[in-house]
Amino acid sequence: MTQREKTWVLFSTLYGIVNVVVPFTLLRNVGTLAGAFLFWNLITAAVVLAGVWITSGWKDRGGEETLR
Amino acid sequence: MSPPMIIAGIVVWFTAGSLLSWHARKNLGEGMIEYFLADRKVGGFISAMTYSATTYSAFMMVGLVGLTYSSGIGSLGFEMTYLAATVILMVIFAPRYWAAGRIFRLVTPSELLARRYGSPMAGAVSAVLCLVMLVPYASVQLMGIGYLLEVLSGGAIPFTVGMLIAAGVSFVFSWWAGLRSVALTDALQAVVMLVASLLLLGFITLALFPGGLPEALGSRQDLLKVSWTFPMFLGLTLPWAFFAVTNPQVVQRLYIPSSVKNLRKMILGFSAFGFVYTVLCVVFGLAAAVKIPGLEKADNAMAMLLSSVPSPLALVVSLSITAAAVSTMNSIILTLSSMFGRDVVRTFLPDISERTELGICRLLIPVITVVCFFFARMQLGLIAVLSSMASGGLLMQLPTILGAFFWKKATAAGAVSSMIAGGLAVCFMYVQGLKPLGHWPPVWGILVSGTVFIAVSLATRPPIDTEDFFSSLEGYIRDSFGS
Repeated sequence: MTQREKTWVLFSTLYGIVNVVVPFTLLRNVGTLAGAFLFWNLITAAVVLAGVWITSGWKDRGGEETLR
Repeated sequence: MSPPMIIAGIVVWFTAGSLLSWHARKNLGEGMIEYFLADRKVGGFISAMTYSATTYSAFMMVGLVGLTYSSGIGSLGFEMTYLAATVILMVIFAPRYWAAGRIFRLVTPSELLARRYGSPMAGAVSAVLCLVMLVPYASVQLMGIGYLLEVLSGGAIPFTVGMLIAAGVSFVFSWWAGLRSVALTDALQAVVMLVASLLLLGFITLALFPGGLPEALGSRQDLLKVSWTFPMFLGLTLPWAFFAVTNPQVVQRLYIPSSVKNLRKMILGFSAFGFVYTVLCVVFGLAAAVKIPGLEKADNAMAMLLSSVPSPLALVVSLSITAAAVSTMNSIILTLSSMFGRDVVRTFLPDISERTELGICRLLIPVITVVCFFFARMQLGLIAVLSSMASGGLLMQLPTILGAFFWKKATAAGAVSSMIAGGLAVCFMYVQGLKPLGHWPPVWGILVSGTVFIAVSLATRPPIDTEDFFSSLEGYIRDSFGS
């Protein structure tokens, strides 16, 4: 595993904990869209954006495409 | 909705898909890699769309909408966790599968296990596990279309005829040009799924809730509170969280992008699609709960919601649900046929030519389609158990897959025994309806599978070429990805 991948695993572990702990404790009884609905949207968007960042380091050597 | 209108919609959709399949057929070459992986030369957009359409089945617009309708926002947490976990896993595993596919000329995910563990039996056990678990899952897709068309046509299109239509379309799209036709039709269907959902959102926002859905939800605050118990969340989420590495129909897609750039486009394109589609489906569930409360069967929420929208829009959304089911079904059929040929038949007949192997695989496409059709037609209560068991059963491959890439001491004996022990444990608990300490079977199954994998691997010897596998893989990834 590269250093970047190890950082990714650490970030993912943190995500896994926060993703469960916050909505099942702090937001459990918040009955508005600003509660668990917003939280799960934001934390997933954060993972997706982090994915954009972590894969930005992938080099590209190109390749022939026959199905576009 | 009138039956002629439904039939006309299906004919238009099928014709468009068939034209794409015919176009794909023109570029079809020879061999297993060509037929099942489009020669590993698929562009980024098509890769992303086929991955998305394969992943997201009719469950989203029927099951997830129903789950949100009945249990509220917990379903968003469940589905978003699945999406985030898929992105996390793809970032780690996609480069490894992509590279291994090229180095070892792999066609199926199970073949990677056979190569890594130096044991065709490890691949065969994984393939059989996938066959057993995915046939019921594919059958449920057919059943979903059968019910949908029957309800929408007011019984004019009977359940069996609806399933026959879906099975026929799936067969044509997958058999005609293998992955080339499946990938192109998947892309079309993914676009239909997204556009139809956006149109429905527009109508709901403007016509059904002129004051805004957030205001309407003020009267149903219970839906926005997390009413799920933690064991329920864990039991449902755990198997799906690892879907990206345990379900062969999506793993096989990691072999197909033509370049690193297109592999990245696939991951990011799927992420964007999944995010938008998930939010839309949950919003539909919330809207249905506010607009039409008190339904006895939550899975009917989408059908009831569609009864409140104009017929043309209802038709487009219904076709998108049918497309979601067919795109999942044809991908499963294609992947299972390749696995049966490569991982099962070749294990017992290692000297057959590639031409014969491909012939057997193609023959299996109609066979698996027919098996799924008859399986679905039985409408057994058992199907519900088997389909819910599918993701849990496939999860039992996880220790073997993790070991393949990250543990040099992992052995073939450990892999085979863990998949069998975990698979049997999950099946037994599902059939018996057991949930020890309140936790669902996959939670216990993965504990059994993981423990057996570690214990047996430590007691046996790893394959002699383990170091070669790791060094060639790491070297290729370093050269291709620059990391």
